[in-house]
Amino acid sequence: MPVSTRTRGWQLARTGGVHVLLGCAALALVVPMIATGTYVFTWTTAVIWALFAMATNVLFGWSGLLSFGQTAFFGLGGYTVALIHENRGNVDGLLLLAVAAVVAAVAGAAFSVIALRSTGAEFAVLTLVLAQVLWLLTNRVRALHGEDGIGGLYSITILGRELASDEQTWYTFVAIAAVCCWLLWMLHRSTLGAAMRAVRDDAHRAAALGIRVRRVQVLAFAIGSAFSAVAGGMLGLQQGVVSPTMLSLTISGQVLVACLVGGLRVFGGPVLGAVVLILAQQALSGVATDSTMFVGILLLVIVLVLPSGLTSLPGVLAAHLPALRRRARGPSPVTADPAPATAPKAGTETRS
Amino acid sequence: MNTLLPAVVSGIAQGVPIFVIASGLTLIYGVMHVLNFAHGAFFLVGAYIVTTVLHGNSLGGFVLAALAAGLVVAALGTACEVLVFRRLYRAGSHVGFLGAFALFLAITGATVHIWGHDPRTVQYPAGLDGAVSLNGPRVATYDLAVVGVGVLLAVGLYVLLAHTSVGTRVRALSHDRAMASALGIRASRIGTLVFAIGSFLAGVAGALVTPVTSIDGSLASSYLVPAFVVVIVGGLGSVPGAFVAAVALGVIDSLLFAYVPSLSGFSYYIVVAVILMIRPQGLFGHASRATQIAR
Repeated sequence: MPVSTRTRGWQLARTGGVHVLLGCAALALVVPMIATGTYVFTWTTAVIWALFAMATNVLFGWSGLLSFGQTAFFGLGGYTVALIHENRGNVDGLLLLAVAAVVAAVAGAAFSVIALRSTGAEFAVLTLVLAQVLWLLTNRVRALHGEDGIGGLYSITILGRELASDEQTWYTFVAIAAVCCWLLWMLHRSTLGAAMRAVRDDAHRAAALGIRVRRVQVLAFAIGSAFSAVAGGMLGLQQGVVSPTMLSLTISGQVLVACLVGGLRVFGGPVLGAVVLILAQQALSGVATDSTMFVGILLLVIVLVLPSGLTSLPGVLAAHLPALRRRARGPSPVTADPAPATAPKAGTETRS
Repeated sequence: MNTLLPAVVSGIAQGVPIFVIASGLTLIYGVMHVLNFAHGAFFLVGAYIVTTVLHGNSLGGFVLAALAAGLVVAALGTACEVLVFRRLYRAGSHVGFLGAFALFLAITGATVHIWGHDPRTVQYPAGLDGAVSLNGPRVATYDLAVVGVGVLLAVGLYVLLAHTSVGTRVRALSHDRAMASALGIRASRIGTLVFAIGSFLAGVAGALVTPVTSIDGSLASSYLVPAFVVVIVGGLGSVPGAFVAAVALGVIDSLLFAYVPSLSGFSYYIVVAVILMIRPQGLFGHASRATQIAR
């Protein structure tokens, strides 16, 4: 965090989350100036993904719960919105999103109460299993229409207005995302947020300090699921259709990647990661027929060069710049790893 | 009775490729503490290599193609370990996961560029394309052959881990990495070796499934997820656990398919949920140290 900006006003703004709202407002105004036509659509996708990544980071970055199955709640949100819309035509979009959030929060809490009996990698695979079960259900339950998914979501109105143009969708969705981000920021600042970080860093110590570890984890899961569902519902509204692809393994991986690319330990990290990921995918899909390989290679480069994410770039530069000036070439990162002294670090996570 | 035996055999045959993938995954997890997502991609590359090098349907040709798949994929896996995972080891398991997923995307993406989108198929090897009568009910010959290969690989892995010095070092590292390193076991060298073995197995598993399925990009995750489930049900880091879990899950799935078709496909997920409720560390996992290999 930059020290120079810590004035009194800035502190007050941070406490109230004003800077989050201002940032979103600035984004909302700037993007239509630099992007036109389909690019506004891409940016809307990026904003939805940013919200999804933020929600995932509540689990992954804040609470230290690795969930491979966030798509379960992403898809649950999308399908909830679509199913309600199919049965009751003229429910407002905002209400649909709220219902999706509640459904996912309840489902997430119920699932995590059971799944949190295991930890670490076992927990991660259980979440993966949840997503796969939901994916299978889309093929088995006739009301969900299998591969075709549920379409016709374009006609959903938000506050009585249809989302007619890309620009209109953009402003509406940024507003929804901004409110969600603001709520998440307030959560981040709250005692619950602090408890989540304490549980992440050392669950035993947190328990000794009187934090109810299980309750905090379940709450984190419910909250992360709720916001994932909102993002899923928004994607459904934007694309006009929800399909089983929303529940695929690739999406689960991509959202974790978005978090990691941006940086887990910074509030805005997942937002940056998601925007970079979506824009890179869009740019690369113009170059080649199948962009997966290039996205993978791009990720590899980021992982190898900046393992703590893009938001760690200023810190890394500040640390290395003097050395860079002295020598023409930068200091090479660790190549061979002869020091097993740090090895138990990875093992500590599976213990509980 | 007439339908039970074929269902069991085909279930085991279905479990074998998953065991072969899972054993590599679990070995790598034991030593490196990475849930190696890239394993699904290795498996896919193995399958594609068989479709490329195999012409005709001779049995010898198929065996050679399977070996070639294993060796090429082993080379690929070794390269990935040296170039990517070794550098990420110190950064923690989250970053290791990110690296593995990046490799998964890069390699599966590369297969699309090399082999295209269209599904490819391979003929059954000559002599293994029929069915034999086992005291009445008929069982596919290829399934029996796959079961044989699975038993062979399981025994081979057991001997390697339990009765060789390399196996002892692998077990020592997965039991207590710091202590093993202090005793002079070169962790990074064993890590590379385990990666080579694990990816060889993934390549062979890819070869094994070529005659029974059509090969396209979706194969990577459709086998990787069951393999993850098997690794967890068996207990992370336990090769015998992976064997038992893979065979049991294969048989359960096959029986459900025969008798309760509406539940088939879900069996893996039902079983993993039930097992983790009862034994959160998996069948053969250790409560305090979930990283033990063949004892």
